Amino acid sequence: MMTLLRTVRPNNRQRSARMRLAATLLFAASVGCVVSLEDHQIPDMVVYSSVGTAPAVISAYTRETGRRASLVTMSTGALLARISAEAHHPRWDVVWFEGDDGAVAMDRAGLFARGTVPDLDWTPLGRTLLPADRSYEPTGFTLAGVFLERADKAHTVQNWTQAFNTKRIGMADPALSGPAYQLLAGMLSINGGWPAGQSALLRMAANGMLVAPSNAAVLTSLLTGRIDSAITQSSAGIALSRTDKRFLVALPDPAFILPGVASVAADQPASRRHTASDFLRFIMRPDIQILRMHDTDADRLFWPVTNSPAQPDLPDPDGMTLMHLSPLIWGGRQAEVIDWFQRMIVR
Amino acid sequence: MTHASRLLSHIPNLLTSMARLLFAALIMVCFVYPLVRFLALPLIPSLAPLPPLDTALRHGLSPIAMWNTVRLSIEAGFLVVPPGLLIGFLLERRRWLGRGFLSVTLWAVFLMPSYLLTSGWQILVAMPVLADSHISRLFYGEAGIVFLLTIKGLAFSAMSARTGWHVLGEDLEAASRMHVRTAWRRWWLIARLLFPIVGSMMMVQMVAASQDFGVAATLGAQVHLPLVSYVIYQNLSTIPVDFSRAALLSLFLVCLALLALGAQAMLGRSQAATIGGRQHRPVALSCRPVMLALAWLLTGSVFLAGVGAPQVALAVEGMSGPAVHGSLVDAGSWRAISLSLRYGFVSAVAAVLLAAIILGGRMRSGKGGAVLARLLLWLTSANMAVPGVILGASYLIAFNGGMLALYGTPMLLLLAYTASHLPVALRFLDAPFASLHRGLGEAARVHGLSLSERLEGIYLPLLIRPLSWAWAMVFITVFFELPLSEILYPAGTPPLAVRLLSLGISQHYEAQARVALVGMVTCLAVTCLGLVLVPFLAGPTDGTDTTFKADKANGR
Repeated sequence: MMTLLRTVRPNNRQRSARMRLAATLLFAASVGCVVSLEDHQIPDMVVYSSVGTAPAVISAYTRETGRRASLVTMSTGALLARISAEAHHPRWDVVWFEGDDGAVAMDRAGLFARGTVPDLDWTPLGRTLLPADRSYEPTGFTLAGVFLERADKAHTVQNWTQAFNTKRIGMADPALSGPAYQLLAGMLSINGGWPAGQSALLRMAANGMLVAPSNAAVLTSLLTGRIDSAITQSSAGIALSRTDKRFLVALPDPAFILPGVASVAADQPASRRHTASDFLRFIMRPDIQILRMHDTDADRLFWPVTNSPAQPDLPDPDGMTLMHLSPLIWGGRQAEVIDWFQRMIVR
Repeated sequence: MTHASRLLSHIPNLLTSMARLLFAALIMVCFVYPLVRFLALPLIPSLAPLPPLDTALRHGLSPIAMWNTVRLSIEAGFLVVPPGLLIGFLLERRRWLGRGFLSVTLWAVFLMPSYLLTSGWQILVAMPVLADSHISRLFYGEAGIVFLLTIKGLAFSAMSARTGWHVLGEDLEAASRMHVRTAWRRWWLIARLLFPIVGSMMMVQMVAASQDFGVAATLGAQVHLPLVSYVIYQNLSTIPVDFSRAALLSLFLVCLALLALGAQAMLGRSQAATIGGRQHRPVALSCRPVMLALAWLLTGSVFLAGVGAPQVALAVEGMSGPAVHGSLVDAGSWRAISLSLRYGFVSAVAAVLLAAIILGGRMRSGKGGAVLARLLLWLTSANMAVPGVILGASYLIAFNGGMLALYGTPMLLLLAYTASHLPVALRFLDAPFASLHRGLGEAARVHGLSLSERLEGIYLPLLIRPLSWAWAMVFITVFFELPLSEILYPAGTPPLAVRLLSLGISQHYEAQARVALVGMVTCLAVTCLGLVLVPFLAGPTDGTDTTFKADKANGR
């Protein structure tokens, strides 16, 4: 032991220096990593969005106002779960997603600031989509479900009766995909509501319906031939049919409205809420709506809820039978319906 | 000595005690508080950040998921025993060429994330030859999940089996050779003696299988076979969010683990009662041809099933798809890899540092410090029994408001990674620290060496290799960590595991395979760099090791 102690006398400067260098490097690397992980520039506004055209809108907003806006994109289901988990300590200022049932649930939990929606030139339909407490703004709408099928198997699914009885059909899982819940609610609704409509869904399950995690996954299954037809959100379905002629879209009768909604965090300081409210107004400006309609993302295919501008790329909504499911009724049943769907349909 | 100077002389001791208490408080806040708060949620619902958005709880606690979890865990527990026992026997009792290779394979299986193992097999089963075959139908069902859980559990069960074969000892075998004439009776006797260890292997595997998240979140979710660990995650991260339900399901998992570990403890006592006294270490014999063939067959099978086949499948799939703008992976995936590298590096350094402080405290002669260190050791080890998904949920609830609003920040993910991997570092470093003679540091202190001099001159040169290996092990597991990452990652900045899972869920298998491959190569490169660079920089330059060895040889 004495031999060892002799070797560790402080005069062994070379080793000490190397060890200190190693320790310093390790410390510096660790600190550097931690610092680089943290986002030090606090943006003027944080937007959580599942809408595909959000990046273009954010860029336009930053260009015009000079304010630094940060965009976090995720699926609607993940977005709602994330803002529920952040609860009253939000790291977001604005949320923008699809489905007013989710918006009603968040509003009931006290997460949305009320009275932040601007007065605009709403269409009659747009006016019906506005909540009484003005806690969220309808930013347009798509259809929760359209029929998409392979052209070589065309006309097998043209209406809901055929959809409920066909084989090799797919839809997104409402537990993971926000828009899919509105579709499910609509399908139940036209079959007698809840719980009477369960039998139609059970028939689809018995026919081997594929339930995929997202609309994108449903489309992939259709592209790979795993299924012959799908019920998908209109924007995704129409976009695919326009780029790939092997697929055709049929609009259902009735078609379920899926409103895009945007809202402001209730628990942010007043100054940030003010900036966020400005952004809600910005989204709905006619020139910004035109910008959204000319984006490359499938979500450009939305119907506006203000009188100007008009959507040139989609059929006139007046020619369709549209059905808006009450978010107050169906939003309140969401857990029960999804739970049943998971147990009896997904299995 | 005046009263004032006597008081001043107490200040260093006081500061040391305060530092110890502060350290203990930090550990309590990081480990105990989140778990207690989360598991108390069903009793005190107001502890949740948000009440359930509607009446989800009245629809029950996913009895299907609970039954699936129990059934599949038992099946995996039974299935792991035969290969586990055989591997243990081959590693402990037989001398053959492939022993090292088998050990390395088991380590590779242990470190391979279960979701990557699943992805590899999914790619294999999707091959045209197998796509519509019986194998594919079996794989996309209960059999596939149990198969993957069994493969993942092989490393741990082989370790337990090895201990069992070691404990049996040479004496018992010699006695059985002398007193029991027929071979089958001798084997029956050994089987009975091994029964407690078999039970223990099953229990450990059952706990591991019930807590696995990677297989549950990939194959389990895909074939719609819900397992509790994934349902907990769903309650936290999909709509509708229900914290109380997640907490109740977590309690179910914890109770299941406690039951299994209680049974294991009872079996352990039974084993101690059966095999008492001092045993001679058994001699490893050379293999007969049949045994040798069996050994190589088993080694090859484990390698193929756990490492080779899934890795090759990932590599082939990764190379077959088109590159993204001339790059192997897209910008988002590069960012995810870079994030995981940084998370892994810092968490591994922090976990190893904390483990060294705790184990160093145990070496101290002072009674208070040693007791505190043992308590911390016990607390952090208990954390090992808690699956990542529950720890993630606990952190989400505990650090989501008031003074500790860390949810959604990288800091919380770092904290969670460190807390969850500290027990691994502690277990890994336990033996190297225990082998250090306490007198070494004491003697140096008596000879006037300061703490930094003792660290530089004695502890670090002797411990730098185990510390580096512990760092590497924690780094690799954090780099691919899934459940904590999935629940706690800051919005918009997913780490590698989350990115890989989302690519898999959206059925972008080629991109997923490419990102996994690039991730693995990057991880391996950084690990090798760390393992070479740190001992090189911090290692001895004047033969301290040699001197120390000479001292030991001289019995000094």
